[in-house]
Amino acid sequence: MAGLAALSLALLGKIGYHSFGFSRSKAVESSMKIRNFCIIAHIDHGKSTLADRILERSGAITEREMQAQFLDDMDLERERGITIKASAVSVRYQLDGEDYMLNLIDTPGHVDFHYEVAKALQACEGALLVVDATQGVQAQTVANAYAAIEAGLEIIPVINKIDLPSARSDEVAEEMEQVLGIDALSCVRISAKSGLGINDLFRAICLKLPGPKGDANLPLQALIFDSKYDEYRGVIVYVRVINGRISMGQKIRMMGQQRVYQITAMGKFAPKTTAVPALAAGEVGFFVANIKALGDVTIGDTVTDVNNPAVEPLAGYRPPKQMVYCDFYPGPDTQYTQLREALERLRLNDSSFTFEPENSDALGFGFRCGFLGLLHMEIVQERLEREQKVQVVQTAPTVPYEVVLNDDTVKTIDSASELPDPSKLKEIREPMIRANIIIPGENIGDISKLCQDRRGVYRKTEYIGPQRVILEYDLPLAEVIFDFFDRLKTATRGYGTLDYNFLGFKADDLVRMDILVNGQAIGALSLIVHKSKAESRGRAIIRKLKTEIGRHLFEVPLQAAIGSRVIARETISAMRKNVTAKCYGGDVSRKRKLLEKQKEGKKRMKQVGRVEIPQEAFMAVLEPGE
Amino acid sequence: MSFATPSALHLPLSPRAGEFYDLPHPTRQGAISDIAAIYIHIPFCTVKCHYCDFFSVADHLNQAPALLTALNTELRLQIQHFGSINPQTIFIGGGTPTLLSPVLLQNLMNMLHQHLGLSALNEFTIEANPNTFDAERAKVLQAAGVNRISFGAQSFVPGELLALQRDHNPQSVAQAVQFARDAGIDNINLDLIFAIPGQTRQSWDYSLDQALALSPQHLSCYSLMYEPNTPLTARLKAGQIQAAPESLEISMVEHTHCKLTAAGLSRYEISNYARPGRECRHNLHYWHSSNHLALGPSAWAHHDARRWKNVPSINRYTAALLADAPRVPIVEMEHLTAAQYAGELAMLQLRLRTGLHWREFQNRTGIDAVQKLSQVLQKYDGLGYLEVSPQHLALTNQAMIVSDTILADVLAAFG
Ligand SMILES: Nc1nc2c(ncn2[C@@H]2O[C@H](COP(=O)(O)OP(=O)(O)OP(=O)(O)O)[C@@H](O)[C@H]2O)c(=O)[nH]1
Ligand code: SF4
Ligand SMILES: [Mg+2]
Repeated sequence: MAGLAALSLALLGKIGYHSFGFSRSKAVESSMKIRNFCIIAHIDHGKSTLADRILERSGAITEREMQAQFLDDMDLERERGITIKASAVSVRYQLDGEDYMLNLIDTPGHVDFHYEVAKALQACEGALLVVDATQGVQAQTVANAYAAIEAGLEIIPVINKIDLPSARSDEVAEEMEQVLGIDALSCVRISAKSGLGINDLFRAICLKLPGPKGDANLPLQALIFDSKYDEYRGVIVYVRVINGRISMGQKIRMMGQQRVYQITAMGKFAPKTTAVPALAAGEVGFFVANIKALGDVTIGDTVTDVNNPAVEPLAGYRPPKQMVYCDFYPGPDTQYTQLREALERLRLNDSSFTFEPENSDALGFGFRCGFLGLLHMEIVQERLEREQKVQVVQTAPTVPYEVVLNDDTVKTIDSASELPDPSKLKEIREPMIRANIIIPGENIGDISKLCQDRRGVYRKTEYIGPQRVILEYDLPLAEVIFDFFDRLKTATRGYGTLDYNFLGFKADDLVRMDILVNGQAIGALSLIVHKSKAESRGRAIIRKLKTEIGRHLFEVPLQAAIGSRVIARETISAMRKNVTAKCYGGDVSRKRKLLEKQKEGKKRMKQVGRVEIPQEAFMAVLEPGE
Repeated sequence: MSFATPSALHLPLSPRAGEFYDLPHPTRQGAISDIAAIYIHIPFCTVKCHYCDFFSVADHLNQAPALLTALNTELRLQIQHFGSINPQTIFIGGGTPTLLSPVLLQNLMNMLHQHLGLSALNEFTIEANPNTFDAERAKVLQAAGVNRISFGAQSFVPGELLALQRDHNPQSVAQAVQFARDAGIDNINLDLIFAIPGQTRQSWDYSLDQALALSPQHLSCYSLMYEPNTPLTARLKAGQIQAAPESLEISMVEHTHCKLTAAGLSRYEISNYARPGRECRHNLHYWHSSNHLALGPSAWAHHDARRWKNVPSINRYTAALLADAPRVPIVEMEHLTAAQYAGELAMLQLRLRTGLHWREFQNRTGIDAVQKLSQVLQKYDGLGYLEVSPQHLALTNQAMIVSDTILADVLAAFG
């Protein structure tokens, strides 16, 4: 599963960062043994809950301080019950009279945030691979397990939720052996919720995971595995020291960026921030060094000492690729400049999305933004509205395309409106992915059909135990971001899971389809579609638009067209009557509130010519054809 | 007001001090501080019409004496608070105020004469249902200064009255009008309803003819509204009746306009037609957002950008006012922001054919409506919906039937 990391998706910047009330602690005594590990799993298999138990049982936090999924400290994480950002934390543990420093990183499970996992893996020697005893091996279990193996980590297989009556721990252990080649007998069985089996797990962590191998006497090499923006301190850099020591006041150089800084503060998370004078080889922590913007720090870069530099940088990571694009336009109460400032501020916290100015006839000035995946896109939008207090009108997501011009030059475009004139075009290439889909055996027929409908190319089927299979398909990414996941879930009654990695770009019979509202083509609704699907997609989009766009005082024709050929049309009939017959002294208040409510609705509308288009309409492109 | 919004639902029957809002203090912010109009709500009816969502009850006439006593107290408290009141118009509505016996009506009239200054009064209206009106009542009212009666005629077709569950027959309207005229009250309005299930263009035309034959000074023609929680709406939802087709309703609106204009009644508001000079002055006060007090259960008052509502319950209304420490039982209180006030004023004035006058609007609100509405004007430019001049803005006749759409834009423009 090489290349998983390339597709993987992430929000940089968070990593559990609690209060900044530094409490002093001595540097780790040299006698202390260090274990660096991350917790990886499929979504919801219990990583964050396990992290809770580790924090609690090690005494890092008291019962009173405890709240479920302690490390999920973003509002969005708590509300959605998912982890978005990896969180690093250090705890102490005593086993058989020995002191251990356990540095753990809780990672997100969602496919969009693979990149977070990839970053975490580089900072560790071990991984707890958690599998839900009722769900068994799932798509992200496989993806993350391979990524950990590839990164050379020692894996402790953990079967979680054994407290549930529907737990089938033995079968799940078998599955792990069969699919991942992990010895079924080595699985640690726990309940992260009740704490059952946690002591065995601590024992395994201390005894089975290797300690860091680095040498504190060599020149400094520290891996930057994450960063976060803090309003007061600027960028906080998370490092794993591989060799040498990093200490307060030290002058350091980032080897990739070739920038020099002086360290002004450093510490660890335990899980409160705790100041330390230095971090030695094997340790994980953070430093602050007067760094103004996240962009100044490259994740995967190596930190070394200015005066005693290392000869070579560490291996680092490939930066994540934006695979989903959409436009953000300012909503009615938001100015363009406000939106730009909001995007700039959010980027300080999440450097994994991109934005560039965009100008659309219909929607005016806005931004073309790139994301790691659909969930990432949704989260960025929500954070803009919530944390930056701007209103955003969002267009439907699309994938990037490569176009080959007649002179054989290749250009990457991220929206249909950038498509050159067809006469100049040799071919259009779309991004392809390799999908691993884990489903109950009885759903093979349905899911194969779904993949085929989505222009998938079958590769292979593998069995996991008697009842479940892994289907491998190569699919156009555009077909996957578009309602694929929902269909998979529906067809498998929620049991199907999906993971994918990027393969490359491939030419196909792709055309540009325009959507016209009241005779005017709406650039933000244009899309690139496969020729065989244009008509049904066109019809579905128009039908959806018809339900989303309200009646106006005139007829509003809607059309889908390829070039000048109209392939679908509908008309929104005119509003002919909309009147309140009575409005006397006792009706005024109610009437005003009614109109005010309509006004709220208008806030999410865009005026295109004389037509008001609600934000939802710009997502109509996602409507599946028949 | 120190209390959190009291919810009408959670108030106990006998209110203690503090459970109601206080009467607001005049601010003179953005409004004319004089009280131009008084509304009095009499919440009794013989039966409940199926389309009605006014606060009124059938079979509770025995509570009328207590209600009048409470009204008297409320009036006293209001005067204590606002000082002497010299309204230009009084409107007694309901409900069916003429359901009160002549004696009670006389009491009500005495009360108004006792408390109010009537030197400025130029219009005094009472609502009446045709079958609750007689010569005796007419006489009492005329003697007290009532000079306008608004009759709920609704339709002259028996089947349509039945569909609405009105309890009068068509002939009673002419008779009631005659009682009024005989007593010397010559300013007559008839309320009519169109788009009744089963109604045709012809039958509507017939009702209009019958109404015109009575030479009213004023006609209110309302399209039937299906208000939530009414039996009519329940019947509609249950499929027992069918709403009039939109195109029929539209043609009725157009026909009404043509016919009444030809008969010398001009449309001065979305649903109201009058002979020259006979526009309802009381209602004009509403549409110009003048200050008005409102007495009785469920009544809404407006004063200096405050709007408030009395409790919509006869029991709680009387209990509050007949208590040892009587209080006006206000259960809703709105303080309009400057923008809300301006938007509301525009929304109301644009219901009128005379529309909104830029200068007057600016004087009253401090807001330049020309500038605020520039985008709206642009949006509707050339479509024939707006009448715009350097002095004013008004909806055209054609626009009135889609006025909610336009007014939503207008309101939005004031932010
Ligand atoms: N019964 C039971 N429920 C558990 C156990 N561990 C976790 N859960 C529940 O499983 C759900 C998901 O737990 P999380 O810890 O948020 O899972 P996660 O793997 O961190 O999820 P993501 O970060 O979104 O990938 C929560 O409702 C937990 O309460 C367990 O041992 N037993
Ligand atoms: S007479 Fe008027 S107030 Fe009474 S129920 Fe009928 S419509 Fe309602
Ligand atoms: Mg989690």
